[in-house]
Amino acid sequence: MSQTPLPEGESVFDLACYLISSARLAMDETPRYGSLRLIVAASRLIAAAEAMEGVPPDDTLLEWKRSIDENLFKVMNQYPEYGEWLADLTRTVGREATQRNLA
Amino acid sequence: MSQTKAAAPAAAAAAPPTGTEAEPFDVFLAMRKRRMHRDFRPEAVDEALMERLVYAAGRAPTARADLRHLVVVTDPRMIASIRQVCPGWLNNAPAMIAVCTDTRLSDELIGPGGVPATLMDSGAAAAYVSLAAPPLGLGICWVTSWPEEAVQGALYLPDHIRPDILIAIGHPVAQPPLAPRRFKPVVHRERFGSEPAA
Repeated sequence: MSQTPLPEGESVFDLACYLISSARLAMDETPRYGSLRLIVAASRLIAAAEAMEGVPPDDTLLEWKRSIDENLFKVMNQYPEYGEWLADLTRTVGREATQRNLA
Repeated sequence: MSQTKAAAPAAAAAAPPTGTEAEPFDVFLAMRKRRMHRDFRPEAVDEALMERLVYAAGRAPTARADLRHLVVVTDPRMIASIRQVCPGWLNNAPAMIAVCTDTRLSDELIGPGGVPATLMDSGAAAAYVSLAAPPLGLGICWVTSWPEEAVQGALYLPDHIRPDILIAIGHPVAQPPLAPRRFKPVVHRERFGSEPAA
């Protein structure tokens, strides 16, 4: 599975446009698409942060972004696998949050 | 009444662009090669190629003349706007055709039945573009997930022009990922629910 060509180095304006449009769209779409919009937003947010001056690089976030970009389209045709992948990623995120808070 | 406005794009699509007749291709081969691309090379799409896609869209069936409007977008700034406000635009195509319908004229000519009819017609236009793209070395991606208001705002569409489908267009990367192989419809013979022939 190749990586999705999501935009890199976006502005806050770009992300605000995306999120507002997604909020409107979520009123007409099934919940699974809401999940897709949010996970895409996470990828784009990580990319935007990486491009910002003064934001230290975060290899963990970049690894999450790589995983998102590789797996997000499973929501279309491999929904159970999408759910499994997202559950695994969410578990990883929870573990990482605790590790950072306890460090 | 917007008939005068509607006549312009319809007229533009009437004459086949140079070369159309001289380069026949197997439509079944185009069907086999057709897929939804998301990863495109960065170069712009030549205007002559865009015209051929416009011709293809214009040749698709339509319930009545002058209902179909096509907004052809190649300006990177406009593409950036579409990318910003269309959550389903998950590709990096440099060009786009927005297939739209004049709902005021549809209401006048067809009535309530015009809504499903024009949506089907827009799908047909997009399908024609999809089949025209492979022989031209182009790839496309249908984008249908966006708030109607966002596209109307970004493309300056008047209220009576409904955007139906956005077709992202570009030169696909050399080795795109395989398309999902789920092209087998449920086929019934003679009546619904019949057993497939042995």
